Amino acid sequence: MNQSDLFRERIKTSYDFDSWTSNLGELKNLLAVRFMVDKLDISGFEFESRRPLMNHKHSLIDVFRNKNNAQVKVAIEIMEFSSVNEAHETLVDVLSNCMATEIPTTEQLNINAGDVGFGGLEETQSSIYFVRRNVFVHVHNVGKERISVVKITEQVDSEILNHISK
Amino acid sequence: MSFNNGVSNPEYVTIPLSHFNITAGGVSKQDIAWLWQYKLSGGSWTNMITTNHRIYVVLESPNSPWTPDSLPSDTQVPWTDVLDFACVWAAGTKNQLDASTAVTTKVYGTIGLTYDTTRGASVYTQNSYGGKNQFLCTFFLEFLKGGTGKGYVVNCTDCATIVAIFANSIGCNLTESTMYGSSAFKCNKIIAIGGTSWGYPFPPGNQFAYHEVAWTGGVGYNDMIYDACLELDNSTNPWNQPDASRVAKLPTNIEFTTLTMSPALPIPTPFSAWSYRERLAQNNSSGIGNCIPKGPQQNTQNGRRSVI
Repeated sequence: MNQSDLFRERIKTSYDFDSWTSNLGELKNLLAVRFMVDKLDISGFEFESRRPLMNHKHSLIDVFRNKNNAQVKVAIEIMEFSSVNEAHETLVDVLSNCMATEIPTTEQLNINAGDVGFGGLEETQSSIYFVRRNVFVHVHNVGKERISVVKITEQVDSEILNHISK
Repeated sequence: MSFNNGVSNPEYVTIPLSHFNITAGGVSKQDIAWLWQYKLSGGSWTNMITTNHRIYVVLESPNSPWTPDSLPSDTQVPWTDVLDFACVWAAGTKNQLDASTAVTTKVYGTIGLTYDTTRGASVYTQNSYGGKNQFLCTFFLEFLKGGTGKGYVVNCTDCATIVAIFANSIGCNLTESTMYGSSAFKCNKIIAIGGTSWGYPFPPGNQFAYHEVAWTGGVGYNDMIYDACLELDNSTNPWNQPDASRVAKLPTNIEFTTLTMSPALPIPTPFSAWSYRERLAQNNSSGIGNCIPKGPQQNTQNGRRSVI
């Protein structure tokens, strides 16, 4: 293994990667297909833009602007993979590019989003990653004023679950 | 130029500019206008058209990831949108050291970026699953032009990549490369990008899982670093100093370490060397002893992330 592989393995170990799939059981076979086709209706926000993320075939980044404060903008990045494992490995990639250690999980933060997910070390959760089955999602602030994105994150996850159950 | 039946002869003509001094002022971006005139044999000069041209004066041919010799269809041919910023940020510089310093200073100080204190996560670099780790340059340029991009909150990887990509576009030669140890390494107080006060990163751990910077040469112990992510304390005791006595300095043209690979710890004070590792990491085995050059990240084309 080279240095980068070792570092990546360290990240997997520290965030208990093996449990991510084992916790899913048979649910890992219930996948989302073309979830990102529909635009989300985010309460209190208006849609601003949608673009592909360019280096991933099934991906997009939607930006929403707060209806009452244009300085508040939230981006929702969605990448859909062909398997749960690919989505999990992408989450590892993301965690491998975080300078902080011991990043709390969404479960530890009582955020109801994802089969596995991570928030931040500060009280205001301004950026949240999660994976629900084969869908990787990153909800984060992109405006000048930062807000909590917990509710929006939970809404996105709920939409994914609804999509999968159809 | 001579014309026969409306076609220049020869067809392609090189126009010598024997008295130009456009390069005398170093790196620059200049817009010029040329007035084209013609005259018939025996006649007088008549205005034909004025054409406008943007000239980029750079130190030398852009370096990797840029591929200036490729066909225009190659997306890694230097982007004029990048040169528009880089040539202004480094205006007047005449060597790689000064240009790299100018770009680093600009990125740290005045383009509106701030550090991700919640997690230290990268937003402007991205892996494609099983593929390249790339710089989302289109999004970043949108941010620079006043748009949303992917926001203003960045981490060390973003800063290292921005510095290397923009500096290399004008002929610098920087590599995005990492440092870490067998575990996270303990840090001294820093002033993170966009911040104004001294603080430990991610308290109470006060540590980085890894750190990435723009690095020269072989990205080793004695190579020089340019870091737009944070300011270090350049006082004689960066490990234990009242904040009011700290001396903030942006790490540009700073050797990873001026000491040996594994110095005896703790290092005695006063410490006066402008030495990156010692000013970033705590004075013990969990800090300096655990902050080791590790080379470029995986899938980054050896620390030269391609641009998309």
